[in-house]
Amino acid sequence: MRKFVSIVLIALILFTGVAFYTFFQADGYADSYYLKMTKPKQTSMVLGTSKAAQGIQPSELKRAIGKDIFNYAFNIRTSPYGPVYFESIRKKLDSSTTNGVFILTVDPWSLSVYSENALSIAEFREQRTFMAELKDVSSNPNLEYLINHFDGSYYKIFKRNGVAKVEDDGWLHVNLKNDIASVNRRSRHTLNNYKEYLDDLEISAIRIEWLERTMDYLDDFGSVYLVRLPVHPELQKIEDELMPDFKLRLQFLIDKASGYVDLTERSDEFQYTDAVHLTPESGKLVSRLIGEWIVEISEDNSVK
Amino acid sequence: MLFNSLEFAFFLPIVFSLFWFLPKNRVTARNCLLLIASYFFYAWWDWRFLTLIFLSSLVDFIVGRRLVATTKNSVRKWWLFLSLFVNLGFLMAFKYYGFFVQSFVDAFSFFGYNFAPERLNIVLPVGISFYTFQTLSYTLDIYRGRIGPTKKVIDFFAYVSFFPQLVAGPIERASHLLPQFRKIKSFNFSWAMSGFRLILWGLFKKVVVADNCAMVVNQIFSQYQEYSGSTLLLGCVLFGFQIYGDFSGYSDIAVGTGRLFGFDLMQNFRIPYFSRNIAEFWRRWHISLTTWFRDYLYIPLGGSRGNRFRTLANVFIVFVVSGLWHGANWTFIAWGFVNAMMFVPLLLLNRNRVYVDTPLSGKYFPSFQNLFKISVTFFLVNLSWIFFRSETITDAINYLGAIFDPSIFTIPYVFGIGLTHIGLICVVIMLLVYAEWLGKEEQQPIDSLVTRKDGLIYNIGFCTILITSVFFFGGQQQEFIYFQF
Repeated sequence: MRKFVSIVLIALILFTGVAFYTFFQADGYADSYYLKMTKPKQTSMVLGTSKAAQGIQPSELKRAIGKDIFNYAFNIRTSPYGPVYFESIRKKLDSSTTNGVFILTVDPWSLSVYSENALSIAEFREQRTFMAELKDVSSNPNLEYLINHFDGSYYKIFKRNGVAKVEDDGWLHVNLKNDIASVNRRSRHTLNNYKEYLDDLEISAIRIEWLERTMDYLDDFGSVYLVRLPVHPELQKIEDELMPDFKLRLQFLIDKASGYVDLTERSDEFQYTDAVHLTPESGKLVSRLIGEWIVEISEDNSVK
Repeated sequence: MLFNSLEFAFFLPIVFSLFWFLPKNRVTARNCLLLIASYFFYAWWDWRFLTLIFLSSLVDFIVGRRLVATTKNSVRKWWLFLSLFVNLGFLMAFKYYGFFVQSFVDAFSFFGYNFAPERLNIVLPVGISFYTFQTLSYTLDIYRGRIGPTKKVIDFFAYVSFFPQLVAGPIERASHLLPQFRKIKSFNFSWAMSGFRLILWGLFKKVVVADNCAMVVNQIFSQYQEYSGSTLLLGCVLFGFQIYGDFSGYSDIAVGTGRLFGFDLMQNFRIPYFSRNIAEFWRRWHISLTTWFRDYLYIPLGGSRGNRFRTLANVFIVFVVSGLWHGANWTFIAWGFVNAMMFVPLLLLNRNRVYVDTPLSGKYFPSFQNLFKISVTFFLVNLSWIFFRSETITDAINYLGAIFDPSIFTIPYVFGIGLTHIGLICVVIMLLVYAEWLGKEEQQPIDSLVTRKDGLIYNIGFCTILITSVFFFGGQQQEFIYFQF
């Protein structure tokens, strides 16, 4: 028995050593979210789903606004507006913040729920994700995330040539082939997926209410801006079908915000990797536009 | 509780320590511990369904005792009927009620009669098909006079619910497993070590092979209309490895865990993908179920003793029922039927028992002829898996049709899956095939990779490498496929 237990224990100790070494190597290459959960509490943030995660580059915003902003946006499944994302934002926010900038990207997807459980918050799609389950969103390494929620195989931690990397400012830098055939293939696939979502999703009054709560909460720490990011015209049609009265329904929130900009009006000016997400080049352009727009609004407000 | 979960990683050492801490002559106390542990293991998923296991065990324990208390055949038949009624009744109610109701509705609506009967949203209790068959075999064997009933209620309850094989087999026979609960067990290093190695190998098969294949397979099967013939073929082959890694991995962990407690569970897979025809495949795949159907369905139906027509009918019945056992869906029935269709020609040509030995025993490389036979069998088995994996028969037929398309000659492409991942899957599959080929003559193929089975350093190295591989290359956690059966 002693020999057996010794072998098992030694093997486990050796393995634990390897595992901890691996965990300490995890960085922005590990997966699309991990790094965001290791950075300290923030004073200014970009919020929303994967459109914002890939489309808004804090370094460009900083160039215009002169402030460090952290991209704390994730994806359509984990970070639609609701109690779960709200709680995570609350954990990530430095409570001593006084003059923060908060860019909340809005679109129909981040305000939608599966029709079958539209009224039950406990059944919302983000409830069974790391967003709901992580107690700590600012420790490095974040063992809770790595052990319970890491996306895929751990060998990826050592992989340095992946298509995605989370930069230190939280921006998800995605490098995909941008030849026409690849873009068309991805776009077709994504549009099909979103068409399927259309059958299952509906706009949720509960999510809109939680967006308002998030805005009200962040308002105490700085200025809150609402941004609707550009999308491929085909996806725009699907979004319009899901929420034809988008602006009308959110008007009361737009009135509450420090500013609102709808960039879907300029969708044709940008390029997309898959009909949903902006390419890094277009993201840079959009981020610069948003930065300049915020400066403009701030100046207008200070003149008033 | 899943074998590939953190909870099980804590549960197993605790039960193991308590088991061996008890004095070896306290057999009942140890069995009590195993019973409590097994019920706890099952309750982790849903405690309410413990009542089903408990009732099933209780009925068969009593029936077993009553069957030998009388010699009157009519009375014995009534007791047997009670056991069959309760066990198959649970199975029908919890597993097949919805399926049969829906099938009736569909059949009537086909003739223009539409009605909406009362539907019950019944949750399928995990492992119900496995423990039902296990406990039924006990009663049937007593009825036929093959074994005597046990007087030890704890032993019997522990036998029915023994946690290593409770939810996905192997489906043990009372004649093999039940006496082991009465044996005084002393800790045996070699036996326990081989069990631990088997657990790690099973985890490797499940977490590294099956879960990685699953990511690609799920992607392909969910949108098969969008993919080329070559990609669909890839999806079909990877599903073949996924289900093998998943189920044989589970069985390895079950057998390995049993060995940690001094038990010997039956071998459930014997290198099935090296089979040279379908008949041989079915002697090597899910052996505990195949032999169950042989002993308790095929032979009682008359087996091959009647005329040719009767034999063929029996074969079809067994395959179709076996398909239905896997799940309440027409796809499983179709899968059973397709396998029967592939089996029948061998039966008609008297080729069904040609290969009963280990494939290519003593040979390192297969001859071209054998390689061809193995490849054809593998290909046919994989095509039949399409019915098993698809949501509907229409999907399965469309999927099959789309494989045999000129696009089969293009390079496969799977949306969102990188070349590195596909490369990793190929490497682990090759490793699995290589290990199984090397160990084709061992009872457990993994033993062939361990030359110095009792060596301290050798075992530490072997175990560390396997645990680390599981850690590094494990795919996203998926439930065991056979849990749903």
